[in-house]
Amino acid sequence: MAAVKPPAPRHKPRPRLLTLGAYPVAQPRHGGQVRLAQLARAYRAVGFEVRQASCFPDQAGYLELGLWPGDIPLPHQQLQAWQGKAGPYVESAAAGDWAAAQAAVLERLEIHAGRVQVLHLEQPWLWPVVQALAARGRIGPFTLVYGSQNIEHHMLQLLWQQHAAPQAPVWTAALKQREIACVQGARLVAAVTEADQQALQAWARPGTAVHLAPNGIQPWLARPSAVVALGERLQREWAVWSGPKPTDGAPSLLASTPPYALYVASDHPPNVQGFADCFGASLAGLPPGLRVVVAGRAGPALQASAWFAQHAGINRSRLYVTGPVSESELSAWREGAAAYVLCVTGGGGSNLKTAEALYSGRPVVATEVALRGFEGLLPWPGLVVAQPGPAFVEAVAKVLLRSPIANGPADLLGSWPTSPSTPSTIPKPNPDPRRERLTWAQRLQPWAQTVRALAGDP
Amino acid sequence: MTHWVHISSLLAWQRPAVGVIRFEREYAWWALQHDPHGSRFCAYLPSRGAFVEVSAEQLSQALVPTPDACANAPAPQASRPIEPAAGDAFISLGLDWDTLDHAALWALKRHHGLQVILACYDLIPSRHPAYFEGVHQPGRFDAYLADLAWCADDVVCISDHTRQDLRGFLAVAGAPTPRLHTVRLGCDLPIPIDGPPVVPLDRPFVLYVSTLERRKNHALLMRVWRALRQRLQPYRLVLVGMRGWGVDSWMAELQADALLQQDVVLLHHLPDAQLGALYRDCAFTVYPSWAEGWGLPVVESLAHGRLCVASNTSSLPEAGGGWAEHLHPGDEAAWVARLAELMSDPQQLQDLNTRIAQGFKPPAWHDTASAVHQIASAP
Repeated sequence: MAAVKPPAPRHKPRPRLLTLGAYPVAQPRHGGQVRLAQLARAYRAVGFEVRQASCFPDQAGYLELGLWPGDIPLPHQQLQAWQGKAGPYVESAAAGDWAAAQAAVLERLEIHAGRVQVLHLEQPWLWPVVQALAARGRIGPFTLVYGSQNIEHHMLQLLWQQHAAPQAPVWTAALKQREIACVQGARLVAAVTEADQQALQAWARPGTAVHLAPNGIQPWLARPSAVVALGERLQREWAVWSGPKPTDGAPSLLASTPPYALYVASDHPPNVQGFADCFGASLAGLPPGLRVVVAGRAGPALQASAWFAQHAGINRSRLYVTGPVSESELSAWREGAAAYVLCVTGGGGSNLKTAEALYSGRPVVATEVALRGFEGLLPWPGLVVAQPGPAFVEAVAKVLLRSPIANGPADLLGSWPTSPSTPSTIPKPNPDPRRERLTWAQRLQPWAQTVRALAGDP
Repeated sequence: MTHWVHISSLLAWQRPAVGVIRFEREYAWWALQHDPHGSRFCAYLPSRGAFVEVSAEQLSQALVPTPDACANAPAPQASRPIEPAAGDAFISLGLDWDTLDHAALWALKRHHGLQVILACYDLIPSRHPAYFEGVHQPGRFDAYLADLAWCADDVVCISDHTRQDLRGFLAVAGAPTPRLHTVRLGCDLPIPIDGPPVVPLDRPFVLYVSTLERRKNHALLMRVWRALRQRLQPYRLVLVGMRGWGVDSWMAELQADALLQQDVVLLHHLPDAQLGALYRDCAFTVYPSWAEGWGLPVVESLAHGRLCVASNTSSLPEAGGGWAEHLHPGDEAAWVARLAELMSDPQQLQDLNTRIAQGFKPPAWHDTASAVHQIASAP
């Protein structure tokens, strides 16, 4: 008698969710990419089968980071005008209109997505694509949820005005309408700050809830050997003294890496402007030997700015630009930092870098604007809130000078790991359990669960 | 309270002293004579990242055979780093943009609670970087000024012009502003004037003592002398100074112009005795520089009883003190007219020189050093 085959375990079908964003997230670099990647992770954690798709200008530096099947580059030459007029910072908005009019693009998205129960639109740029997909009906009758990172028309208005774009009023009005349409077309809306939540709620149809889904951090772990190597490199590059250590036991005044404050930012124009606003005319407000390290694309953009050129010599002596760095390099920079600076003076939304800085366990000097979205966590140990300008610079100098590495030869020699055999000298993380509340997993879980409840079972 | 006098520049200098070295040397000399128990000396050793003590004997050797000459005397490598007490003063008046590590000084100051007195000679590399193209890394001087502002409690500026310029720079750059003082450089060195003539005295000559560099505007004098030749037999022009940078074009011009060569004499690396003889024998001096922090050669000329026709820019009217004459360094016609007048009217020139010789009182190095000491001793 043939053995009876046990029945195959029946997997409960999972609801499918499509994320649609304006950039690929195979290797997230900037804040928007990181948030979208973490949203996908949070959705998976609550039981969604997640498909990820994006439509983006093909020259925005994303191609080199690798693409997934749902990432569709659009010809940037076609995206230089919006609402019939050419101008700066219109590519993202134009991308939505252009992609929605391309049957090939829509078809590719539909093939990649299959039938979905939920579509998460991140930012308003691709709203026309969502409308087109809904009209074609091939991915099924989906529920739309909308993820806002900013009140975008406020930020873009500022940029268009800064660039004296004559179309600024028209574009601003059009973008606002698009944002309102997103909010009104969605069943659920995610905001990153309480202020944004209120603004979005004001646009929402009755019964549409706007939830707070604040930004968070992905805990990082620096390899001790990488931190040691970085420290040794900086000792070579920064210390004027570069010879052998004194053999007579006398401490050298410059025998270790000078302390630095870390600013991690992309080349998004407000990041550069924020830095200039915070540090004033130049970095002359920092004593000799102290530095600000700018990690990420903000550094080269800062060096190319008129602000930098005005006092290039002073700024060069107190600024170190890493340029784009890998995650492991960035982790080493984070571990070596004596302090973090958060130079946010404009724009909307909430800064991912704020969460990272708070999580670091290092002193943080931040503007009030940089703390948007983190109000519920304040006060925070080691956090100094300062107005941009002299007060900010003074606070940075103070926290750097208070750091162990700045306090004289005796401390200098013990504060920085000097060989791979001394990994224990890497500063210990802040044991405050509140740090864990900053992780993406904890910050996004309530939102993901709400969306999951909305989706029900397929 | 000890005054730590930093003398790295002096110890490393191997040529006849320029103004900056002279200030550092004169202060060190004064401190040896007048404050032997309160002043100690130190140098910075980049190889060790430390300031080490230099004994009075070692300093004396560096100043031998006369306080006027500098012997290259490397800082002692074996010395222990200095251990100042809180409230001690640290005085550095030398080539700090080259020889002083401000990060190290800042660390020393913070660690020991020092009062730091530094000097500012001018802001020319910052204000006129084009004059230093290929010489200074662009902007490096700006960084030095910001570092100076952080390290110093008091800055000794060598003119009101420099003091105001520094104040303005620091305010615009967002650097702190220490207490700023004006202390004028002395000019009473006993330059011997009894040596034999350095140039033939068959024709009167005009003297210009200055490094040969673009900012010093020797090019103007070449054009002026050519124009003077159209009017009269000009006095000879004697240029004294080491060759710097940015002068290739006018020097090539000079070499290609046989007539001009008959009028212009170039002299380098003269000992003080010969310089004294030149001041003694010249008819008057010129100083058409575009920008200065003070103008020591203007004062030297006056101290030797010789009229100086100088630029009317930057600190030069202040250095002239009402005794020199001033013209715009770009106004060629004005220079031609005034120099032709002086060369054509020896009596007028003699009257002017006599008035200067009888009335002008050069500032004394003793007073300069005392003023610095007083600043360093203030509570």
